Amino acid sequence: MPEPSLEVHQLAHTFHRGTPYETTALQGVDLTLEPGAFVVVLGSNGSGKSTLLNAIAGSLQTESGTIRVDGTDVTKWPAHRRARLIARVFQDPFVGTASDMTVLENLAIASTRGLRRGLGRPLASTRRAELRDAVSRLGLGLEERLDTPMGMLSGGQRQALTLLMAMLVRPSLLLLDEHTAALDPRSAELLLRLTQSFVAAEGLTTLMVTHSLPQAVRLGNRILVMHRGEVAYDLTGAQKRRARVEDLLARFEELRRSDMLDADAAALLRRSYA
Amino acid sequence: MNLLLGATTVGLIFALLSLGTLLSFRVLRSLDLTTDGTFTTGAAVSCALLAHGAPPAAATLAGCLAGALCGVTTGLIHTRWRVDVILAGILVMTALYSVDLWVMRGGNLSLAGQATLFEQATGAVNGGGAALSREVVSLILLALLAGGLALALGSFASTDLGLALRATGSSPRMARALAIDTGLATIIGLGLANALIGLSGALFAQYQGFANISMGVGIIVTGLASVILGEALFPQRTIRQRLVAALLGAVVFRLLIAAALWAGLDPNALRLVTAVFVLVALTIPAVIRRLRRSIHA
Repeated sequence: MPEPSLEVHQLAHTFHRGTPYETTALQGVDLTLEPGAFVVVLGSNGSGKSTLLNAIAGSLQTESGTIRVDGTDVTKWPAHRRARLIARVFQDPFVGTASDMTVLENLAIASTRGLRRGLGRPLASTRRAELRDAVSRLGLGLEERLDTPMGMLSGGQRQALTLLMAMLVRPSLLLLDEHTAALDPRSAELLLRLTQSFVAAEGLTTLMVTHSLPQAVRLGNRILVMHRGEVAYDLTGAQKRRARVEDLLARFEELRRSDMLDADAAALLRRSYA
Repeated sequence: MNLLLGATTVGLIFALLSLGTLLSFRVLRSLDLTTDGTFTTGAAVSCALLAHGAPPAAATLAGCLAGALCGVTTGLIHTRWRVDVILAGILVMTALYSVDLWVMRGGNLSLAGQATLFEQATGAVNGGGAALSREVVSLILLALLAGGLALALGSFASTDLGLALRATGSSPRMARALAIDTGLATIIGLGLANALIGLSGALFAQYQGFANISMGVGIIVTGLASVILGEALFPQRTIRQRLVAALLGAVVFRLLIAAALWAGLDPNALRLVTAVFVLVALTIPAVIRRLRRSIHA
């Protein structure tokens, strides 16, 4: 039995603790991803899905809980060290690539993720040819624009390159952070197709956060619905395969109604005791 | 003619300052105020060593290394203790004032009667049978040094480490997501930038024949002016072009100043003029954008 790609244990975090703005973002989340799992995380704003992703990537150090990647405890590792094992595509296409460096330079940096960076010359002709081949896999003709500054490309092109860059060095875990949310519909569709085919071809363990129910239905083999810092629903196997947008909407409606019940109960308590 | 020669020579010394400023201000996108302190420290260390009879090359190299140490200190304060980079630079610059007074045993250190790098080079060249003046030899030596360093930096910029430094400045979140230790990269970058600035100070002191506690005051503005002037005058497509532009920008800036002084500008007004120039150059693009918008609107 191989180690799980990701093991999250009792992850909890509260923002602004001890102030009037105190918000519990995660309250004891447990999550295990077996190798090759493709998990889609849904949840309304403030449900904790982005906090979960940031906590796994290491850009947020949680108050408690542990995170293991491929069996290695990375809980205390800073983001750049975790990035040896975890690749990430951000929502904002301008964050995932460096505007004033060329396409080739961006790719070259990604091609040494997790390796020691010394005085090697990544732009030399052999590596240039390798990276050119990799870019041609996108089918966007960007292999002809290797020396173009990244800032000259569109958001969709940059996001496609960011996805490719995440996979140049095979990651133990791929994090997709609403990676199509900032794109126009055509680019978003293109990126989804690329995501699907790359993840399938490489058999990558993937955690994708999205707001889009159709995406959740279409992609992956497991759906998590987060609510109030907890996993409210976990759909796997046949449940996931059968899930339709309407089913997911019904689940959200259920959560909303239970929230209202909570509010009613609170009002009742106030009336009785105050 | 002599005025022109002298201005070009000083411009080439300031080209190293300009390259350092390009690295911190443009590549790392950090306004590094250590610069003012580093320039003086580089000068003070090299002059103190020369006064103790050290070989000029070793004294110059020591000024360069002292500069690197200043930059690394600022980088450590900024990245390890999360002090804002401008404040970190101010703290180190302020502390260096005392260090420089100790190193020079006062506010001034004259090199009168000491053989500097330039005298040594002149002697070596003329010993080979040539008959060149100190001015001409200095100019050639500095042109080779500044050009060589710009080429070396250009080559470094496309190594794995060089790309990591550039990514750290351009998109720090991307850099971290690609496993770059942005803190370490910042420390290395500031160290390198200040090594160049310390070297610039060491050469400037040897060229003018003395070090002075206030020689670095406001020197970062000269560095910025050189970088900006280079950007305005020369192509900026590749990092190599940007390095050459910063080098030439420093020389052009120095020539402009020489011309202004020759035309009768009050030397006391120099810093004021330089500061206004940088202000205007930094704000003009925004002003033009606003004008364009209001025309289109």
